Amino acid sequence: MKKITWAFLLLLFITYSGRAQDKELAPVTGTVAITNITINPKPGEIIENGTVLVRDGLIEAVGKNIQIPPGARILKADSLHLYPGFILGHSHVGIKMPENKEDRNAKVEDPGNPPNELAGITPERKVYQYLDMTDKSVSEWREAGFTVAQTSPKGGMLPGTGSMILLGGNPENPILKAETALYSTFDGARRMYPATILGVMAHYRQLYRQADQSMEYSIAFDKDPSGRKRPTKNRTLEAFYPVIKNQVPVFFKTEEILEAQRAMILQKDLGFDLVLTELKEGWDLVSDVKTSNSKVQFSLDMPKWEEKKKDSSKTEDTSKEQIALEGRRQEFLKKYYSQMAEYAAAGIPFSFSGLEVKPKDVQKNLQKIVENGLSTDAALAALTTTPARQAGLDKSIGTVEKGKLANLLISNKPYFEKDARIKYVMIEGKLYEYDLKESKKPDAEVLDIVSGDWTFEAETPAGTMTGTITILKDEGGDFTGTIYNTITGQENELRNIQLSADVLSFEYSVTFQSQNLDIEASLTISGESFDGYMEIAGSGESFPVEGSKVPAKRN
Amino acid sequence: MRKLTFILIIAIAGFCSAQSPKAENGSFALMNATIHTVTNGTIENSNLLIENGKISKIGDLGNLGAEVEKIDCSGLHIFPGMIDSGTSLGLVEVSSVDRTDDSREIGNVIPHMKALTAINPNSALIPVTRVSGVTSALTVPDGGLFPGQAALINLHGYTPNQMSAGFSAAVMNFPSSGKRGWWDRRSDEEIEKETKEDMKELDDIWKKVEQYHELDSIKANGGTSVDMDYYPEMKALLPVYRKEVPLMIEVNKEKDIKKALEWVEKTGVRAIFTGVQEGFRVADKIAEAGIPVIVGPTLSTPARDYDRYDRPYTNPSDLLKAGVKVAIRSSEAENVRNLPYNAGFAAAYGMTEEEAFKAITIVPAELFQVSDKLGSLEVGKQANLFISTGHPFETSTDIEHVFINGWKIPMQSRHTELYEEFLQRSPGLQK
Amino acid sequence: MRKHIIFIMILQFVAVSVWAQTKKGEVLIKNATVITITDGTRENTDVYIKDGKIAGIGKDLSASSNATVVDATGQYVMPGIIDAHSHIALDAVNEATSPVTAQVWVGDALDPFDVSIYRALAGGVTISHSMHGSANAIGGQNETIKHRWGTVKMDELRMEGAPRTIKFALGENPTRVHGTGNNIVPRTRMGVEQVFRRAFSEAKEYLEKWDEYNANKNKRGYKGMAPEYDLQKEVIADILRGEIIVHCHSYRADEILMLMDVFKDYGIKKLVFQHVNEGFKVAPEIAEFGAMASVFADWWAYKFEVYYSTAYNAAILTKNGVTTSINSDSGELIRHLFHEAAKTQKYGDLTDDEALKLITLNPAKQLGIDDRVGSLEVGKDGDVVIFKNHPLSIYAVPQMTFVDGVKYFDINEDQDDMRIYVDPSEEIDVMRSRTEHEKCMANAEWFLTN
Repeated sequence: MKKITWAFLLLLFITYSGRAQDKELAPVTGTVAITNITINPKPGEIIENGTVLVRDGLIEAVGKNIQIPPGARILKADSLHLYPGFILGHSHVGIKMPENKEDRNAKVEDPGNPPNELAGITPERKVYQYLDMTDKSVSEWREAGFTVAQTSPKGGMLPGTGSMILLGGNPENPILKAETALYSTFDGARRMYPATILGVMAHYRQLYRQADQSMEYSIAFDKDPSGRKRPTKNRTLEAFYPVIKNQVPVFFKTEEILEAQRAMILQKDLGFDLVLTELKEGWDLVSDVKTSNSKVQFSLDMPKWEEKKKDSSKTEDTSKEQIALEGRRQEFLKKYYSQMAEYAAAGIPFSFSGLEVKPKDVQKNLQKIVENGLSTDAALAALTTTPARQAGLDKSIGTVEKGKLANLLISNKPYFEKDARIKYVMIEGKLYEYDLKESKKPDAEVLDIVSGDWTFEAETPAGTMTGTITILKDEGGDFTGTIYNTITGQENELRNIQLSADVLSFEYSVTFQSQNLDIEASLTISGESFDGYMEIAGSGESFPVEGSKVPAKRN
Repeated sequence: MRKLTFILIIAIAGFCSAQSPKAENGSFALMNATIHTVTNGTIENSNLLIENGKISKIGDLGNLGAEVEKIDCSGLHIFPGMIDSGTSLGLVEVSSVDRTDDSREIGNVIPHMKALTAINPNSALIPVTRVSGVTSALTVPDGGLFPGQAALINLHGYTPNQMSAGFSAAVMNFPSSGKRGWWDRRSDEEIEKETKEDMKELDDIWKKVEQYHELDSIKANGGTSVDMDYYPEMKALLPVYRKEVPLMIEVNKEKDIKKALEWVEKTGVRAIFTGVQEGFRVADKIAEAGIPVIVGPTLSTPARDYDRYDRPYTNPSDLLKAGVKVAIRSSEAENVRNLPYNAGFAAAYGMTEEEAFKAITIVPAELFQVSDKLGSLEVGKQANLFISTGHPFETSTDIEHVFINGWKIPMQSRHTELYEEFLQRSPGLQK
Repeated sequence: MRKHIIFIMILQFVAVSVWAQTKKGEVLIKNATVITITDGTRENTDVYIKDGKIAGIGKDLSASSNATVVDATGQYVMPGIIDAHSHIALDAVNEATSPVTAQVWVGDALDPFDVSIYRALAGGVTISHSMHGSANAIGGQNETIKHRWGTVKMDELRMEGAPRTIKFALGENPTRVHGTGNNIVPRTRMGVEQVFRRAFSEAKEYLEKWDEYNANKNKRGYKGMAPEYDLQKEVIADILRGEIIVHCHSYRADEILMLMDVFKDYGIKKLVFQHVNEGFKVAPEIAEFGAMASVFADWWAYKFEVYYSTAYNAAILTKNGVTTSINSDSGELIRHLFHEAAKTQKYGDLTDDEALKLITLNPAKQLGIDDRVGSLEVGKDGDVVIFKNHPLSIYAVPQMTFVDGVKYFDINEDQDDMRIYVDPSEEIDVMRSRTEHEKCMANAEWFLTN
């Protein structure tokens, strides 16, 4: 039954998803030889003009003079570059959490002692209960070169237990290792205990120590039940047992430096194995991480790298104070990108996590990290061997070696070079091919018409939204623009405006019901009208948009 | 010595009657004091005569009649009463108890609301304030864009009219692009949107005032056909539009100050900027526009995390040095008594003592068009003054006497009364 | 191998096992007017700090070549100011979800990046008592911090070895948050008393159960189950054991008396009243109990329970023998506590030494750290501040501030922008609020909106 569901969902996904760029090659044979390719079997090694032989999802041979068995499908990969498939240290990929039916504003009777579920304390949840391999995030991460990811449930302080999963291959059997992380955050509950960092820290200690106590008692009970009171079953506490036994590490989401310190304080108090995941501000923590023996996963979600703007429009903000402030801002921006090199230099292994980043930004960010001092070998290790070892899976994934899973990534240029693009991804022998879509030049007639005001109408979950999009082209040929919508009444700045052939794409942020939403739009222009869609980033929710040009006013 | 005097005063006050003592009216000769005139220097070992509520003589007082009460001020100082140019005194009693807060009426544009109407002459806060030497205060309504009219009051009297010092002015909270406080969770976009809306509303209002002015002018010139409805908002703004009275514009953020300067230039109103927290960033521009400012509280935290720690202390001095006319306010209700310390910190961080004291005496008197009556010790001016053991900026200074409009004010307040009762409680521990 | 953490944790909940190694400095301050607090004021005197401790106070002292030498001719040196009530350097102030939250600890929420720390140093304050807010009758545990500005490490802010303290609160705040806001006891001052009595009684029972279990668990054949671990009760039990100093937010005389009665019933002795605006009315009772008082210089009338206040409070308490301090409870007042203390000369004619004790030795006593700080004595910590003029003058103007002999503030050398970290995505011209009043209630707003 379950098997059928999986297959059915996959089928549905393939036919339904018009946007997916995966092109499935029907496997005529389970044996594939990738020949005449530059192989990076593991960080620090290179094999020019080599061959990788894959059979039934495993790597059979790697090297220069490989005997290709008859009947093998041959993939000629001249001038291409092959890497071990990337491993994402931590993510929410493929997760569909159940809708929280409780009214977010519902008052609990005693906010000091709310039901665990409402308070975000659900460590007993296993991520594989919520796994949906047809979720768009799976294909997006795969397209970004990632073949394996650790994924954890979403939630509050203790969302649940994570697993290592394959991002493709056999969709009926995606789980590589079932229980690999007890995911924890410092997120408080809404209007109930624990609401703040104060409550979360205290409650973490309380739960952990109660779990320790109850585990100890159940061991004693199991050994000798006679005359003992039956232990109370408590799923919340039981979820900690593997952590207390040091079989499963705690993955603490610690974006900020203080969160990382707090996680290490808890680790020192309680003695669990700690992984600092989604770390963003780690540059001052090198020695602490070393002494606490915790593991590190840097966030791939980085602050936007802005090259120093040429001061064209703003002339007033060039006071001495403003220049000094801008200088400090640049200095700190750089730290986000250069800290990985410091960790590498200090000999601290790390991997990357993608709890928040958009997969399509990953390559760009990694290249910036390399530009800021991280060697490509160290970067590759952070994407392959280190996360494999952190998950205890280094015998089966992380390098291109005989006997390992055939998880591969093939790019047209060395991956960390500018303009490198991923052409193939292989997961457990299954090959995914991608268009090497060069960014196309804008069509001449579209370029002519795009500047100016456009009205639009979109069918959003909150009702029909209308408004105006204004696009301006500056002297340098770059676009700027704004979007005004009637639902929020806000005018928002457009970012990352691109025109490729006849497709206009941009992003913007809008505040809706006190929430900040990032929206991505992709509009196909035809004559004086367009149609396309807008998507709420990270939610998978998108809605259709139509619009037309407002005739320019005559002066 | 001064301790003794103090206890003596309390003892006498306590002895006289169980009721609160009343102010005394009459003629008072303040003898042998150091007189800080503010406008004409400091006169050592001199005398000052108060008659009919006014300062009638300074220097040799000649022969004094028997009805004149002589007060020996040897070793003491006389200063003009301090004027706080921004408070909510009389409007707010206990700020967290809504029913005792009359400072905010409903409505964004309500310039016809008058602070003087709602001032409670019996507020317990008033005696607490005046025994510290603050004798006048501008009481300011708060709220939306045009929250009403501020009133200058003297801190003695049984009715608002008795207290009125003869000045009122419309207040405007210039649309702010800053956060209102640590609790302000609005996003940058939301703030920007609201600011934009407010600016638009301001422009609309000003167009209406313009029309109202035109109609009113026609009517004044005998245009009988003009039909004017009851429109108190416009009526209240008319004198502002016609530059007959100043408009007090509360504006703090650098960006907003720049915008306010543009707006003032465009409309030509007689502006006084108040708050002006980031005035130091645009001091030259404010000076150039010739707009006077009321800054404060000086005792406040810097507005931005990267601001130098002493910015609020040095702001008055920075503005003054750029050529701006500067008054200092406390922005308080119950602690208007800290006005001299707000000025004192400005003196410790850049202003001279004289400049800082002027900012709480003669400068506000000038801004409020009452410099013929208040703000300095000059013959003919109203007798608003205090006698102290030293300069009021120093906390070791005791204020010995306070006169308001020539009334000798009882040196008593809730704070002194409780001190008197509880310093040596009786009964003590026993039942 | 799994550790037997239960036993370790009971011993050392708050003691973060290894104290961070903090910087210690060496400095020789020459030729100043030295206000020692405990041993008079001395003209033309030197203060020598070595390895972070005061090594000498006297004339013509010499120092090793490593020492920084500061010529303070014409200036005043006094011990670093101590603020017994603040909420600076904290990411969260109130866990306002329950009337009793003894289990939480603001030491978990320290924020070394808060620029208020630097601004406090610029006002001569070297130590502050970072407190839980006043939303709950029994709030969280506090942390005594040293203002080691520039560190990014939470642990380096902690004052190593300072006793544990906890926040209690009476009156309007807890009754408003829980009673009015959530329809949970207490809504009145009667309810507040019963919250304490219940908490102490239950903690006592908890202790007794553990005592019984511990007495029996090693006996042959004992098969009982340990009482369920309860962090909140552990902490309240430590109060009963006298291991934690209670700092109680209070205003009215009746509630002050109530708490002393409850404490007498449970044998609790270590008590400091905070704010205690009506303390002057019951000063003899407070003195008799042996409690201490930490007050505002002149705040009153901002809420109803402080309407019948007097700025002479500190003077009345002092003259009735209560160890009294002046605190800030505000990121603004903490910048000029020397001025706040000076107001006691206006309101009650305290002597210079009496006034200065209110912000040095007395708060040190209230935090249980007077053996280390609060006066200039050989062997005490090298926490000192240099003023241009007498610290009780309006023209005092702090010049330099040292913690453990390390200079953290210098009026002539420091830059304008003293932020430690810069958020690259933040708009540059963000302007914050005006003066922050009573941050005591931060993180509790949402309960007060209905």
